[in-house]
Amino acid sequence: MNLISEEMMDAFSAWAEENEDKHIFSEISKGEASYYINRDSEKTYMMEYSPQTVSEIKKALEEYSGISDPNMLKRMTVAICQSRFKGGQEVYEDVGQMRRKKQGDGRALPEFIYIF
Amino acid sequence: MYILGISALYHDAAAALVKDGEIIAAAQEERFTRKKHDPSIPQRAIEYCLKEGKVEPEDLHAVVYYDNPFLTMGRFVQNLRHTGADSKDLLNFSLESLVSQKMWIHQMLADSLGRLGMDNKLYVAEHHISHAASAFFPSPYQKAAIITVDGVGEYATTTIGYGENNNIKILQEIEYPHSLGLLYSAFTYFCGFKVNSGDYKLMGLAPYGEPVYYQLIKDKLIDIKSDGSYRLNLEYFDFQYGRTMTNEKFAELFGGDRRQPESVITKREMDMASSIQKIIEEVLVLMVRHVKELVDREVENLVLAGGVALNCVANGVLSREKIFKNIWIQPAAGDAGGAVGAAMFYYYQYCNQKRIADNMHDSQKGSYLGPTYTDEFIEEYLINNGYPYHKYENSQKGMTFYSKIAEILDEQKVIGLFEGRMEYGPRALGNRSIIGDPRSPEMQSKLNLKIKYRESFRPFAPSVLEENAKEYFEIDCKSPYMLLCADVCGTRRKEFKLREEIKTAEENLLPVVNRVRSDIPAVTHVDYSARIQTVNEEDNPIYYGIIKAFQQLTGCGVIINTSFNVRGEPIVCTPEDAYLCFMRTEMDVLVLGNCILYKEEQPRIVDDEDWRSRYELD
Repeated sequence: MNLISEEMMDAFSAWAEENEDKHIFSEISKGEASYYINRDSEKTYMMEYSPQTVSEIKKALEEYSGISDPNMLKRMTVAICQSRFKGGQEVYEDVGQMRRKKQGDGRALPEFIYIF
Repeated sequence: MYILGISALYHDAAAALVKDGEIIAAAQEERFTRKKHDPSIPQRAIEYCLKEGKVEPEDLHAVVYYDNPFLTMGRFVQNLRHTGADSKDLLNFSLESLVSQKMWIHQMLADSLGRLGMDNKLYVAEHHISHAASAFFPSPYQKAAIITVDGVGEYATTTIGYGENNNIKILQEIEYPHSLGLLYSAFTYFCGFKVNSGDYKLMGLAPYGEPVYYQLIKDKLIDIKSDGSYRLNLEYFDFQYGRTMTNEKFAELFGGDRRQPESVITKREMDMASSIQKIIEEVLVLMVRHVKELVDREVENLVLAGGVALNCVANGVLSREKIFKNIWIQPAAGDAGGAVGAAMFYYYQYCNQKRIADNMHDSQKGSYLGPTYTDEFIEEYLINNGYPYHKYENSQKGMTFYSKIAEILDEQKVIGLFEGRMEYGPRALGNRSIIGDPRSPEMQSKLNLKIKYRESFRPFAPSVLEENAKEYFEIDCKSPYMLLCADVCGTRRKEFKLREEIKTAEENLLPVVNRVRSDIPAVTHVDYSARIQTVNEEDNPIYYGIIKAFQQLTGCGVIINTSFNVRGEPIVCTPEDAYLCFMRTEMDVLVLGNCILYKEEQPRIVDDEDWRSRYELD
């Protein structure tokens, strides 16, 4: 059984479709002199990390992940809480391996798997 | 004050223990589990670090993780909007690990450790802060410009900053999906090598090619500004969809599908390697000039970290450009080094502890930060297993011992060298190394094909006595961590027409590799370059002693140094790992502590035929 149900996965997929923005990432712009982004805040250089409750997770997601859509915020909070790590559970070694293994999916892992 | 730093769940998981700013121990998990680039919670590396420091989890002032999961989640959701209707693969391959592992890293580490230090709390550092801290805090400098460049960590892929005393500050950054590391990895992937572990291969392949795609890459794939900032043209990449690195459009640009792994390497791959190497060097030089402008121009020092900082060819270019007087690169520049950086950042900056650097000595301890095994332990292991050995008593362990090893090298034998503490970072620096005679024209292909079982085109690195480095190489600084490339001195070179040789060789590079190019041919790459390790007596007296003895015997102050492993295997950690690697390959002699073992005296290993299948090819 997957930690994230197919329904939830479909809901994330639908959200992505509804909120699609192909220009969300900055693009090449010949007019700009520099692509560097100035960095002023040191707030997240280092911080305590101990979210446990639904409200703590939701609050931290709001504050640090920049998720502003209430639907996504709620959905992601639920997904995280439902997938809470419990001691002794199997830890998969590769990103993506977990779902593939559980689904018995024959597809090969992506060649590059370290982005998330 | 003891701080435990952790990197995990991406690749190259590691642990590091820092006491009052001093690195006590650091090791990658792969060395213990024998799984290359093992990304799992580094349980065994943690156990080792705590044991080395003689501390229990409850004695730790803090446990620090090298990445901030909330920031990464933000980027994931942003990426999800980019993929839109085509988000299935991204979700399938990434979401579950994010919500069930990375977001619960504090629970996973608490489960692993029993307790997260005195306060039972986890601290997280930003990924690039961890890299920047790993570059600056152990460096010899009180002030330095800092550059970190990797694939991605949270949002950033490149940062430019400044460090002074106990404080570092990021001034500017470039954010995902624009990434020099991912661009390089796209070429690694397309040329049929594995991302990350194959990046070195692409770098080694580059001199065989010509940069014929340089302008095409600049026209189509990356826009580079005069300050070294850049953006990628996402139309040619697929990584943002969670699938492969490149897409069909990328393939069309380079005349067809990617090279299949393990198939013949053609001129196209050589030229692609050469072209992307030139791009990386160009961007880094511009970036370093920019940071020089940005920080106080009186600052003479530059420190580097992040996976791209392992590109020793580019580092060599930066060193020769002399934009900064001094450069120091974190030896574990990839994710493993984040463990040290996170711990040191907590100690120096978060806790505001005083830091003093003397501008000469770093505090990386030669990167010999891993486990060691006593002579007694080794001898007991050999006796218990009935493995014949020749022991050199401590009174003999000096020139007698070194001279014996030098004689063996001079007889064209290949030696597995296992001494002292294991290295932290991807390079073997004389404690877990395979060594040989660099004067031998056949040694490079012998080592590649019969001992390392890897591709014939790959070069080997030289270890040279620090005081003799200039006699062999065009280098004017120390390179103790094998992170700088420089050319073999002109007076030592022999005529070699690479382009003609490659044309004649067609698809088989072996004759090209075997052509003598200098009086130290086994460590002279086809463009006369070498990835140099300078060795001094202070950092590693045994390794220094061996090279010195070889010099006294032969007049040559250089030996070949390659990591003690076979292809796909992590570098050996224990005497047992070393013995097995020795017996499974055509290595001639094994030096384990103060014991010398000869292959012909060893009993055959039985039921070991399938050992090669245990390691996935890198």
